[in-house]
Amino acid sequence: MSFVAGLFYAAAAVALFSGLAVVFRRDSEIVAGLSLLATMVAVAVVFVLLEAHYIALVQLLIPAGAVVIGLVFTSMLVQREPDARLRRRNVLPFGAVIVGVLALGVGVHSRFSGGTAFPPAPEHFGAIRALGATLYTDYALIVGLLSLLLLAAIVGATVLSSPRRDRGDGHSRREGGAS
Amino acid sequence: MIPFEHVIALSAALFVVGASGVLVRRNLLAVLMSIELMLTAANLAFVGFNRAWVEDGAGAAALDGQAFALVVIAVGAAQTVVGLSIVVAMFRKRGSLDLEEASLLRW
Repeated sequence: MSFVAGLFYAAAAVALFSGLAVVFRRDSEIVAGLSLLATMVAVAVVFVLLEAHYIALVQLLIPAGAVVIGLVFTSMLVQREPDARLRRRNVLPFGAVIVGVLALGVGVHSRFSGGTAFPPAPEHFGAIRALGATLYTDYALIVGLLSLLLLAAIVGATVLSSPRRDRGDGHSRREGGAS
Repeated sequence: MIPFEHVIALSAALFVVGASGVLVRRNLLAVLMSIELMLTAANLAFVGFNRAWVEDGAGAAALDGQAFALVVIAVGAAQTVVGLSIVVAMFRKRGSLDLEEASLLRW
């Protein structure tokens, strides 16, 4: 097994086990968030091995950097008690069955066929320049729509989480007027 | 050599784990994290398929998979922003994040 393949299987194992920890650990959401961080970093390693270097960088910056940190901070703010329902149900065998079936599939597959190798990557496969040219020519409309989506998300988040302007107040006033 | 099928298998495994998290967990934050896991799995599939078909029909480099991975990352960021503000609003209103209690729209 070559070094690259070994690194890939190590990163895949880390991603899979930390992904399972995100879902099936019961104690705290903070631990789940940090496991999600480990998953994101492992997936970024896989992106590097696939020579998609820019995507790996973005994966580290946005999902691992911004999104997971936001999730962890929010879970620190709202942490109360562990998931009581999950404690009642033992779902760990469920996860073990999923992983077992998938590992069996991969094992059987690689037993009977060596797998398909990737073709050699073009020179600028993971480079930002070529990717930017694709994004701003073929997908210019999608990039514009994405900026609108992000703007809408900012506005929506501000409205949803702004503390005052109690909707209950306006509701009761309207009710009072009707009665 | 990394076998192409194993990259896709890893992506499928991560997606299944995330989907089972959405189905099993009853904590809003845990569901958000599981959705994020599913999006990452989709990204892995996009980049893996892009790496497997690196040229379009004319022989030029095709980077569509990576472009879509960027789109998925941006949509995931927007989804998390709105989701987290829903978390904050729900915690303010109910004092818990249990999705069993948020059953107003259920018949």
